[in-house]
Amino acid sequence: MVPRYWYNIVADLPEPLPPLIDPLDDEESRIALLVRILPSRLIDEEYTLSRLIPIPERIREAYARAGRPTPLLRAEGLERALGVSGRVRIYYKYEGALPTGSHKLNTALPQVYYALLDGAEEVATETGAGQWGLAVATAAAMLGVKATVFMTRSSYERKKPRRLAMQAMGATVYPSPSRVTEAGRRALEERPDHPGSLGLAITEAIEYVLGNPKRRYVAGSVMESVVTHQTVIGQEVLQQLPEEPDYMVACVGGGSNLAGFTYPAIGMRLRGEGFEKTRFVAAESAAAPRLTKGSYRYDGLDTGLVLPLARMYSLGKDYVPPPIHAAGLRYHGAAASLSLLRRLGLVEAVAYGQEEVFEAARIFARSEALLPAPESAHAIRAVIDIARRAPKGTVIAFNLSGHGLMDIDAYETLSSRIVEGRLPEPTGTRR
Amino acid sequence: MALSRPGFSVYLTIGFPEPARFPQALEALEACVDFYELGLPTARPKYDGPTVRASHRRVVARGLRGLEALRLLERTSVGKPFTLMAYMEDYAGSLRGLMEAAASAGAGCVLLPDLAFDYPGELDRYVEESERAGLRPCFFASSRFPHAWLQRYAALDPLYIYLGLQPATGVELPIAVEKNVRLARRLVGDRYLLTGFAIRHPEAAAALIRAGADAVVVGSAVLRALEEGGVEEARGLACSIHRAVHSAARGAA
Ligand SMILES: Cc1ncc(COP(=O)(O)O)c(C=O)c1O
Repeated sequence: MVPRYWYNIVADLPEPLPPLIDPLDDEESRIALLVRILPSRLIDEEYTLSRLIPIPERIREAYARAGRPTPLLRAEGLERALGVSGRVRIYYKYEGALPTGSHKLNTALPQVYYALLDGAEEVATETGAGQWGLAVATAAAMLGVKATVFMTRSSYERKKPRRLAMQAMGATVYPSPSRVTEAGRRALEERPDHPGSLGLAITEAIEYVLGNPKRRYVAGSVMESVVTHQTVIGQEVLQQLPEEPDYMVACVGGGSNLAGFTYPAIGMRLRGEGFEKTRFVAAESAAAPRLTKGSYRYDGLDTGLVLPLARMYSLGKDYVPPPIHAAGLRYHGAAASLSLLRRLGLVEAVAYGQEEVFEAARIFARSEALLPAPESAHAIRAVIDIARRAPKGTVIAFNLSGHGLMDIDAYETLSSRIVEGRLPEPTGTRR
Repeated sequence: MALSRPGFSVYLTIGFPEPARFPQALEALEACVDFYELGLPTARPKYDGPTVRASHRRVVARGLRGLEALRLLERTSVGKPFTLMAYMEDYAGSLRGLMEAAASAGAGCVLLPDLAFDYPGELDRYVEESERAGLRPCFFASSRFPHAWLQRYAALDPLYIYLGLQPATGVELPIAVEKNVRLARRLVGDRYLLTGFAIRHPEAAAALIRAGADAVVVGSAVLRALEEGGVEEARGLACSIHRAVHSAARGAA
């Protein structure tokens, strides 16, 4: 059954969540500006004391139509491939089963719906890999509003299938930096070959939204309300898991799928209701290692500082990561609640380079007959490492946040490297 | 010190709008407040909204800052109970001095809005230093706050628990604040629940009292009224909200 509530972990955190702030010497308030940017109901969910937030009936229906609950599967093929059968049990929640192929639809639907409640006629957003953009384009098509997406230029050029899918569904897609906004034009002047960054694309999308009161911005990750929407995943997991895992693993961009997958369980742990022995592991990209190498501090949510500052693990709002295939993991910061949990040691973090991640993706594809998204493959990498070292009886659960059927460009590069003999056959696999 | 139920309070940064005119502002408001919330001027009002931030900037630019502001308070007759607001960041190394100075100035408690967020491990020391100086503790919570912390606050017998309804002072976003007040009330039991941030109208204040708040405090709107319309306008605003708060409480009784 589709859950009736989203779970707001802020109510259970061991320490209070530091507030969003304006830069000190600002005469105007960026916090005050949120009312012109975000759907009202999203703001309300961002600032609620409630532990449980009822999922609007219209959204529960849309979730059901989109295929929720998504399955929790046992990865027996992977267990065999790793040679850990009978020793380690691995489960994964398959968010790729949603029609857009990733967990992002879980929050795109309510946010677009909330924009409609405000009388908006258009939603705008940024996207890295295009997973989020596609989710917004889909939700907008389902609910009948126009969507505009600023897609980081490197992805715009490389992730053609997803861009075309967005456009087919009626969305307007601009490469970011674009010439549509002041921020984009400025970035292009400074650096004509700018590959784009999520921080900059956010600034562009927000500038675009501020240009017309009938537009609303929809946020792909990082905000507490967005993270809360994703807890529909973890609420289902609590019903589906046949046993309490020793590890729960997910990849991290802004943190929404990890939070969505783990927060209901972490919440039980914080309230003393279970999951005492579970270790919660965040797998990030070495190209944007915010949780492993960033610092915990107040920083801008976007490059242009249109939004307020949040206290989070960050690499700096101006961080421009190298282009990698897992474009969805290239954000400079992480959700405030996740950052706090990481600082308190309740969530651990590991970072992986591209090659080792694709090796994991290939092991998974061959053993489970399912192509993972490059982002999700970071979680798989962590799972493989944990499983190989784990003592008998270990149980691992991870979130397969998306499939990789539209990331064929990444796999193409990878397979040509294998053909050229530049990437070794994965070691330690038994098929 | 005990606070009346219901209560209406005005927040002023000590020394605003000008150190010389501050006593007059206090006096003008006196008939229509139950207690004051007075801010020690700081160069880093990091968690405040634009109006309160500007009030600090202005007072600090006139050369008044921190505990020196208490001297201005000594020369002023404060005709109502008052509590102080300060940032822990400014006093982390001199908490005892802050509490002693506050006690000798006659304050009921010192509210440190950044204590829970930036110095969560110092909560007990804050309570100890408050009590050592003969003050009660008072605590700040936000509209996204751990329930266990609200319950922890309640167990420490504070003068009040201040629920910041909005993300920052003076900034009004579409948040179901009354729903948050009802929930906070359930969590803090019968402890004194003071609510504030961006309250500007009598109706809004009355609704908060009906939702279960013991008191409301108005800051930015009064600071703006003082700045733009002078003491008469500030008094008019304060008196209308004071009336609304007291009649809402009678209606609820
Ligand atoms: C498939 C997939 N997984 C994970 C992520 C990371 O995002 P987050 O950490 O916000 O869930 C993305 C982001 O684009 C994604 O597309």
